[in-house]
Amino acid sequence: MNIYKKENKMEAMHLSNEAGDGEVSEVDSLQLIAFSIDEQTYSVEITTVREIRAWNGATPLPNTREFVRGVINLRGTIVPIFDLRARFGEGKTEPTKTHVVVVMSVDEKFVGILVDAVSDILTVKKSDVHPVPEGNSSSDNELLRGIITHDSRMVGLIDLHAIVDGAKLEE
Amino acid sequence: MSELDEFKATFFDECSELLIELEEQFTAIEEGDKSPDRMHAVFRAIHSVKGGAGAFGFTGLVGFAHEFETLLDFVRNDKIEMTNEVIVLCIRSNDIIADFVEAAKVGEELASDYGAVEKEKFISLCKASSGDDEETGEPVEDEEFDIDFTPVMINLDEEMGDDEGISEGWLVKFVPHRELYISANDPILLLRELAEMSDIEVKAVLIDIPTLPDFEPMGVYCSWEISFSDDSVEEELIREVFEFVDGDCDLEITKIEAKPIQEKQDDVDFDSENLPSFADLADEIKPVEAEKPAATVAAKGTEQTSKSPSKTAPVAGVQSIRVDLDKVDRVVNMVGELVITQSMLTQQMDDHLKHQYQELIRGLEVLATTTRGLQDSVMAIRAQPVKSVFSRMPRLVRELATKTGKKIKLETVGENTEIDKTVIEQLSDPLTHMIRNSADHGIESVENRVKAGKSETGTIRLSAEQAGGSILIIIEDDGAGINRERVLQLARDKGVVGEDQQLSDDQIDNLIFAPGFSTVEEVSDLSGRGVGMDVVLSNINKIGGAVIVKSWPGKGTRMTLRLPLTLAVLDVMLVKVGGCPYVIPLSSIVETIQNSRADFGKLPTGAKVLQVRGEYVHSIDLADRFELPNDINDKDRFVVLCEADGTNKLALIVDSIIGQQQVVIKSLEENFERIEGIAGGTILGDGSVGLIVDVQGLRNSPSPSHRNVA
Repeated sequence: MNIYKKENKMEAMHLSNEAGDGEVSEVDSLQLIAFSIDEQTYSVEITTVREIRAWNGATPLPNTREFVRGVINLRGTIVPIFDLRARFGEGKTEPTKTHVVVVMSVDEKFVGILVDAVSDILTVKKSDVHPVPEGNSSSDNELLRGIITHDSRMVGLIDLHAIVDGAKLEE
Repeated sequence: MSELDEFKATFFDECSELLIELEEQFTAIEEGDKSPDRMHAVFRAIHSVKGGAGAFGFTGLVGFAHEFETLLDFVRNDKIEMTNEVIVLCIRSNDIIADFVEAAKVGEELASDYGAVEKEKFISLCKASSGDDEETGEPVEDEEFDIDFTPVMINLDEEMGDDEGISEGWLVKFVPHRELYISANDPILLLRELAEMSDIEVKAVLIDIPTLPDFEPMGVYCSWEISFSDDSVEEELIREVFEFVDGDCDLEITKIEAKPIQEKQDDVDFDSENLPSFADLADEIKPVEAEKPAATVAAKGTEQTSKSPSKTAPVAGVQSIRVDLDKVDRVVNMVGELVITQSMLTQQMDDHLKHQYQELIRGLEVLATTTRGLQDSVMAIRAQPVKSVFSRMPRLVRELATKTGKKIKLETVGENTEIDKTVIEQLSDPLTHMIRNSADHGIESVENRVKAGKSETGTIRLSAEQAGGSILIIIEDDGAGINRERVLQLARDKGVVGEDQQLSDDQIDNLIFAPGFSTVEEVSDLSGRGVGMDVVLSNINKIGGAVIVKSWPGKGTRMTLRLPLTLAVLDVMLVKVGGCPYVIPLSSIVETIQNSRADFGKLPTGAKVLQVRGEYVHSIDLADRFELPNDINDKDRFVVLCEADGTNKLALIVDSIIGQQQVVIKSLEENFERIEGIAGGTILGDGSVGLIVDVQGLRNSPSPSHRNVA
């Protein structure tokens, strides 16, 4: 588990060295990669992240949901890319070279999400993950596993399964 | 996986090979080829299965195989006649063996009395032929746990070694006793082994054969005289051959002396010259033998161990190794990548560079040839004869015949045709479905066949052949053919076809592949729960193949599977649609036409129809279909005319044609899911992903606006 984390961290190292190593014990802490879409920050667990790469275009897939940006070649494997902004219903991203793709492994499948920028690596206590408040839309609860406060700002913890499952077209 | 599990896996691998061989042998025997070789092959195979099963403690299998083996032993020694009844029993027993093996493999226990009926039959048959005074023939007990029946040579005749002399040759008198035959030995095998050592002349001594009235069926009257013209063979080696029948025969080995005895040293030299496989040992033996003959025993020990390899030397040409398929797949994938890298390099050589670096170009050309060759060789490693699938079918047909009460014969042709293993794996289910379909729906009952003036026995013919870059697998029956009226009626009832839609005969025949379609009124447990033939179609489509049905009412049906030779690399045409790269498998492309020259007509629904040489072809604009931007002048676009499934063509309209190339198929489902109209993805020369157009899929599931049934 330890080595696993380190490897992932190595990959992400050029992004930030400010990971709070050793501040919180392994068992009850979570390490997250934070990234932004517009002004809002979201995060995923660092252990699921395999790679972060610059946006370099994707081959569009026909007959799929609008947030499926297409597929890219990740060293010989074809990986689908989801546009997180579009997934959240905020319109299609117009990607530039500064946009990044976060490649993650979810249920033994590789998927990439297109975000504006990766901002930080966070270490938080599990107990600091707040539930998403019940509200008007159930999709918020589906897409987020919880909310974290970092530097007094809200960071959404994304539910990867929801992202992947939502990509499937209704049969 | 523990070591034992690995051995077990090897055993099951071997069993499946042996079972295939058995099926093959029995098929030949059933067809009337009762040559002793076949019986021996069957006996050996069963014996190997039994030996392995014994080692792993599969007692049920061992017990059954043992009795079966006993029967076979009697048969091969002509003590039991190979009547049809016996053949049927043997074939049935073979199926039982297969069941036992399968059960052992999945770790189940079959009912303790499984195969008991057949076992009883073996015993009674054997008893009947061996007479009351005989015990049931027991194959040699201590062989039971030998896995592959290679007896370990143990030297029992050490004293013989010392008095070996030099002679012109040997005369061996070999008089087998009855016991020799009872313990499942066969003189021919012994003689063959002798023949491998040196040139021999075998004379059968027939003088003892009595006249018919005095002839006892179980008696042994024949003996042999074997003369060796080559004196380099040691007496001991000859004795060794007969080691396993020691005591069950009279053996007399005499020298044929024509020359005075030579020096011992010469003898050894001679040895090393004439038995090259011992060459390594000769050096070792020479000094020892020359100095103190008493030490020969030690030297001989070494010699013995080298004996087995030397015996197998003549068949070295067909040696094979077992390699984990994963390893082969890895090589295949890597070679695929290599091919693509190579074509990428070639693509990037522009005209300017070509002039500048001519040597480099030549190098690249050689590289291209070599990679092509490498690719072919690697694919050949993974290629397998279709036999491995075909051999499962005779049993299926037998069972179907029993269940339906019909008389059905299966003929197989071209089972040595080789296809890539990945294709073969996908073939088993479709073939099973199609044969079931033929047996269930195609072949008529005996009465109906007689009424129709046909022979009682229906024939299903299964054949495989290579045709260009594809393999054709044809399943033909001489049954009633497809009942078109009923098919059409059912299709209308189920809403597959509109009430007023008119279909050609071919189109009706192909309806049997429509999902949820079954023409048999009562659901049988053989084929027909409404699934089946559509599964065949989807399975075959998945591996890039096509199915064509042709039926002749009252005469029969022919289903042709067209399969790609390999799944690993695909020859494709690279096209652009809406700025995105798409590839179309070359095997399905008939021709390409400039859009400006294509002759289109419009249907009331707005769908376009292409007229090609008097034929109207459904057309699909890929940009529309894939909802891609289309800002290219219609005149500058191209039409790619494809053959979707042999009879039906499909015109695809694309923006531009880039060229031909080879690609490696990558799965989209691995990380995503199946997308309609796309058969998979591939990595193009520039590292981007190209999508493979699923021509058949596009044809079969047109967009709702122009639904069309075929």
